Amino acid sequence: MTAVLRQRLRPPVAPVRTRLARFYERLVLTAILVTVAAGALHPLWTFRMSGPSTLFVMAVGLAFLAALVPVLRAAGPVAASAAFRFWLLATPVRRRDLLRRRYIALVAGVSVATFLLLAPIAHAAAGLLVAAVFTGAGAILVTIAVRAQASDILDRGLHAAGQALGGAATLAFGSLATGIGRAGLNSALAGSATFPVLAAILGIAAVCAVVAYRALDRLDMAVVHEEAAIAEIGEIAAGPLQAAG
Amino acid sequence: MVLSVRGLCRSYGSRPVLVDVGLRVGAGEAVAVTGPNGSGKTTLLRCIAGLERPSAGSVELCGAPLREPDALTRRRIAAALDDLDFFPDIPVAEHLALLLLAHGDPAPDEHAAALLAGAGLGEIAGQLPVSLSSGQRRRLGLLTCFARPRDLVVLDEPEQRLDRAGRDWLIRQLQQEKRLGHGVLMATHDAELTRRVADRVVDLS
Repeated sequence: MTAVLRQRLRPPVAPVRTRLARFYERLVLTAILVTVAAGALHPLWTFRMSGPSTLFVMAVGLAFLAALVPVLRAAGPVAASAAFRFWLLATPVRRRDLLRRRYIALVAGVSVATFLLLAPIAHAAAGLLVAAVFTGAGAILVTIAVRAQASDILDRGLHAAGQALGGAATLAFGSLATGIGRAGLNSALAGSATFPVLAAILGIAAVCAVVAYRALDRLDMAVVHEEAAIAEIGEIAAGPLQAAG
Repeated sequence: MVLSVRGLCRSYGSRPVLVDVGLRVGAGEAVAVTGPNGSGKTTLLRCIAGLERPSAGSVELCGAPLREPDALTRRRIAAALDDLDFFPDIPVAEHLALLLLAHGDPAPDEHAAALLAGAGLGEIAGQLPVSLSSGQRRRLGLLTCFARPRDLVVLDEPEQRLDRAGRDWLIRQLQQEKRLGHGVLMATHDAELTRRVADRVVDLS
């Protein structure tokens, strides 16, 4: 059923000239985004710390995950356009089938973003495996956030987890800044077995991904936010930054 | 009883919008919800359609608690509350056919064409949504409620942006809904619509 619906959602084939114009538009937009991203990430990739510090990577990773939690909760994280909600989600078609692509894109997008942000720092300090561990942790957080979208209790748990991650990040940065416990933590973290931790996290992420995918059927419309509303919130949030700039 | 609402409350932060609202809609019965702007009419309808979660109270649909994620609930409620949004690259008739297909209609294209013609929208079937007037968009939004399977029709100020002919069409459709044994719940400011369609009025003021 969903395959037929998707097929019908495809717009009629446009003339060659229109398709070329659209392709050119996308090409320019992609080139701008890649240039901006490369410009932002280049200093990180060339960054070398005087003394490789696993604790620093952990602190940055924890801070990133702590910041990720409220973003996921505010965005839904599963969202849909108003048209998609009215014409498709409000019908009896199974929701997990309708939302599958968005869900996969969400998990993949957050995982890639986590890795791209943490890999440069981890590469300079503790190795890319640590970045992979945090990428797995990011994927777990997304899947829990999706599952929590259909459960108030789990959502409160996710909020608490975000606060705990923030607290851990603060402690790690505090240790780096003050030197209290820095050497001990660093050597303990550097000596810890990254492979088993990564394997365990990837296993948990796989289980969470399946559980969250099944939970898509239990999402009600009251918690599936409209994409336009999220963009509006983003614009409002960015307002003071633009004014400051 | 198609719809039964008991002790419904809804607050935004500390501001209560709905306090202990109760109403019932039977099969073949139309209930109009009236009240000034800000009295909570739209919020009430959104809670009943499952688009918002009530702070307290219960909503029962055909004798069972309302659970919006259930496919059966979505098959029973046809709601037109907000302004209708469209997929920009897909013609009007294709939207309606998509909806009918998703509801299991074996011949969605033929039925969509017939429904559009019956609602006086036949000439816009092949157009893209961007070319529709606000009245045509409104009529199409209402038509989606009368096209799909349903036990209860929920409408928020359905008379808005309709011309005289459109209002007459709406009244005929709602009277037909009652004859078919469907429940109708609508928020409205239109005295004529209330007089000609509603069996009871719930005033939220």
